[in-house]
Amino acid sequence: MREIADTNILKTFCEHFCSIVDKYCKYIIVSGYVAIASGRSRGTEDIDMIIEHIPLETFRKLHEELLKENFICVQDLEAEELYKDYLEEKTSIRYHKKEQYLPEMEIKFAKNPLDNYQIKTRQKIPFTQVDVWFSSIEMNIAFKEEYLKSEKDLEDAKHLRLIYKDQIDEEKISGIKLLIRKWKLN
Amino acid sequence: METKLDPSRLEQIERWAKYIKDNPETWREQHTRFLNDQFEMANAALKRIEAMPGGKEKIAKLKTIKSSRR
Repeated sequence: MREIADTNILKTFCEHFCSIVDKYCKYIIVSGYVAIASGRSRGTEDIDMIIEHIPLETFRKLHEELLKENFICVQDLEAEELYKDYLEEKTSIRYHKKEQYLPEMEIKFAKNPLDNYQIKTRQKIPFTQVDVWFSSIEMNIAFKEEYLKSEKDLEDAKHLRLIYKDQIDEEKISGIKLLIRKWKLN
Repeated sequence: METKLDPSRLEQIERWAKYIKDNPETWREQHTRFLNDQFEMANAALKRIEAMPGGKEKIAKLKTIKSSRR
């Protein structure tokens, strides 16, 4: 009979990656993985991460440590190119483990006050049992309902609302939706 | 245009969320198996592609498609 792993592949990958990033900057895990780590049963290929804006030299050290820890950057470029041509241009970069193509971590810089606010209000979510920093549940619901709005995102939001029913602050969600309209939709 | 959710999918989400709440001891194991199976299958398929002639180039193209659609 086949054995069932104690931990899932996404959790192991995410915690390892985040433990390295954590040494160099503040980060948050956003969007789909917040729902999946909260029990949502759907497929994914990647985890989305926003990091605070860091200088090139700090990024170089972070990138080097990721490579040393057996991560590969999909955009097979030098740190300086990744920094200037991708991150600074508001384009994400992606990493996966050397021995496995999937999952991937997609990283981008915080690019507006709303992203910085998400980082400032980041939290650990004990229910997930994943020891990383997430953007808040309210933030994820607001983004999925107000900005992303695909079928998948609305289903993720519905799942989060059901799982965290007794903890969700509706006023906070409304306030974040106002900020999204100001910073993302104008 | 407003996205409307399929009622049967909504029911499935509600059913699974209820299962999570009602079965705190068992849901995680099922969820882990569900997630791990996806990655194991996808990675096995990618390894098979990699072993084919021109496989590495094919995978690189797949990755480019993925990056450019974002």
